[in-house]
Amino acid sequence: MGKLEKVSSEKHKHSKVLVDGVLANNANVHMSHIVLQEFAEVAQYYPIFLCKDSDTGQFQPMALFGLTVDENIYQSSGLWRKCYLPLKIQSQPFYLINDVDPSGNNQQDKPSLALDVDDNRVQQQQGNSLFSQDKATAYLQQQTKILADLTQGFVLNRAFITLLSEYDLIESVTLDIKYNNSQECKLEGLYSINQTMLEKVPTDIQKQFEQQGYVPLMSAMLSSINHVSTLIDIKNALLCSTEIA
Amino acid sequence: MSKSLKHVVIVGGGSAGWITAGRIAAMHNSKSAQGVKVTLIESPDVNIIGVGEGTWPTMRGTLQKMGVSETDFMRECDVSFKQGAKFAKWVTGDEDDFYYHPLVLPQGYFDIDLFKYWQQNNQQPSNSQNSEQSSQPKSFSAAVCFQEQLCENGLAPKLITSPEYAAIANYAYHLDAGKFAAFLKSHCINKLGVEYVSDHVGTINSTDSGDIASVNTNNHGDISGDLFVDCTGFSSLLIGKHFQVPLISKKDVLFIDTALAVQIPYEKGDDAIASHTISTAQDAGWIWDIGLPSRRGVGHVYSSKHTSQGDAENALRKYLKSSIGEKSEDLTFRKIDINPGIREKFWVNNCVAVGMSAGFLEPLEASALVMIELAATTISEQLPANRECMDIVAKHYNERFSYNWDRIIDFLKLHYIASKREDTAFWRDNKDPETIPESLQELMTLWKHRSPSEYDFSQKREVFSAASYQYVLYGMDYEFTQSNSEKDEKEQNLAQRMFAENEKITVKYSAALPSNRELIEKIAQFGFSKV
Repeated sequence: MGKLEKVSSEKHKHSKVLVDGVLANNANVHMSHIVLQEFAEVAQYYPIFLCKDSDTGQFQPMALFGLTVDENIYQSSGLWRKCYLPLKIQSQPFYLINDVDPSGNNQQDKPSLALDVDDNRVQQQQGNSLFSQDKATAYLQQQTKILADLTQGFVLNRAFITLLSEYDLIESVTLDIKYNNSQECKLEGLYSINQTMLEKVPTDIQKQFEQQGYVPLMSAMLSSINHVSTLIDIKNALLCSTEIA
Repeated sequence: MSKSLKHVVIVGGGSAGWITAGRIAAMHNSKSAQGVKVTLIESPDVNIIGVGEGTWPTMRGTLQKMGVSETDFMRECDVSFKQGAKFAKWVTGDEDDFYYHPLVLPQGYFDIDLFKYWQQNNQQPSNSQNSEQSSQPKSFSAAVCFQEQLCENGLAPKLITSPEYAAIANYAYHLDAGKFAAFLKSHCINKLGVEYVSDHVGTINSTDSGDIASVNTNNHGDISGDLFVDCTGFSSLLIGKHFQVPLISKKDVLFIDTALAVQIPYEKGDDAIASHTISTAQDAGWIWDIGLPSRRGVGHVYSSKHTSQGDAENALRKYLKSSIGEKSEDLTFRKIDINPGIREKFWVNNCVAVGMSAGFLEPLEASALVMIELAATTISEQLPANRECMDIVAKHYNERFSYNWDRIIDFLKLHYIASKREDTAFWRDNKDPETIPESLQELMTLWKHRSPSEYDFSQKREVFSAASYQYVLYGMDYEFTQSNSEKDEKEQNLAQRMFAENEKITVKYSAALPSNRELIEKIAQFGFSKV
């Protein structure tokens, strides 16, 4: 994240965002935060794991794009343009910042929309405008909506994770990968649902999971792990082609 | 057939009572009707003496086995991390004199004895290739272990992303003993099915064979049981008063018999919390300094034969002055008498003593809580199936715990005799061979010619490992005759690799770990995950 400026119709009257740049800009991103509402779409394309936030130790659901840090196999293979993009990626280069009320009146923390003006997609020549005649464009409204969905999603995430932790349903997963060219790598710090424990959950709690709509989310997480082998296949192919080249 | 053991009655709360209750209840399923019933009787008018605010790393396993969440424990008992002890002024008494007894084993501990190579490196200082390194030779603990550096920099032993009880650097805890007992009490009652009786125990009723049949309480009548655990502290109601098992004084070996204790608030909210116990030697004893998240606990333990209470108070004020200035003048200290001694037997008939009723020594090396854990674990794991088995279990238990206490006494005494201090009668008297157990004298002779090794300690669950002896002996620069044996080139190379590896991970961990306070604050806010 570069330099965040609170979005205003005066300051960003002429600012434009090059929407096409999103894929190239995330070429070195190996995972992204995701929210519960998009689990079904995400699970169609990406492996979903839980990862710990390095600053808080809290679990966060993530979509995996690569098998090592800075690697995005979807981008390098050209597959990405056919895939659903997680909201967190879609929301770029917009962010929410917490306004500090200078008057000191304790108004509720209301997050404001901010633009990363250091992002190379932000300029004044081409792309989507933020404002048209001082009014937010459909594009800006769309981005605002995405950020609102994300904010709501993080709250939903928290409730989901809390319940998983409470019933010891989270287990650590280590990926030991050996590529065709004998290169090996070990991926740690990933967590998923512990199926054995899941089966032991008392019936009334199972019911609670169903009522809260958590059952399909857990299934999505578990089935999405199959994408790891797809990623390994693609990477094997990529490694092979670079070796030939 | 002998009646099977169904009911354990613990007399006395405190850390000893609740740890014993928790270990037995968790292992023998007291929650269920088929499990062993555990009842704890605690007198409402007895105050808990909060002995020992320092634990050993074993406490992590003890808590885990009782099903305690580390996050809850740390939040509720004012807990900080402890990565060992720093002994200041124990060797020469000089201002810059200190050494560490860390909790992480020496690098390559099971493959190589690094001591002689460390000594060799120090004797032939920097050849050209490492001339850029500081000319100051590294201490033994810094050369073989990364933890001293973590402590010196005030760093935590793990990350907020580390699971509960998992360590990057082996660690124990500093805790508020009063809060700890209250925390365990609620856990034992609410989660583990321990029956709680708040009442005063009066008379003890015997069976014809001399066993305890029941204990009489003021308001709950006679409470009968199959096994009675004496956790009544110094008053030693069952093992001492009832069974008349004598306490064998150890004052002739360990002179310290008095403590002056005080709690010191931090000066500023962001003051560093030391992640090790600081023990600073004095003229007739030593001062402990333990950092909890909300305050420090500081105290002076001394030999009343070697100093007066007034002088001991002055020494403590002088020590505190360096951190809190003139405020040290206004403090009042709580005086606690320590009667160093060990019960002649710990398990008699159907009664076993745990905690201070079994024995108590000065708090050097935090042996109080670890002996409680060891007792609770052993009783729980060896819980006799019936009365017929009990005498056999008791016999083994007594042999084992006499051995364990003797090893602790040896290890504590080691700190005094390896010292080079001769400046006061206290230090000189400590080196009088009459005061040194024969077992320790023998080991000291061996260790003039070779390092302490696992061969020197025969038990499966030793209290102190040979590594601890190494850290203390070599930290205190114990005289050692280098053997003239041929140096094995292969081993030489391995040793240098180990030193290099230790240097590498020291740098790595020092960069990655947060400060002790930062992590403790994050635990308060976010907590650890179980996985």
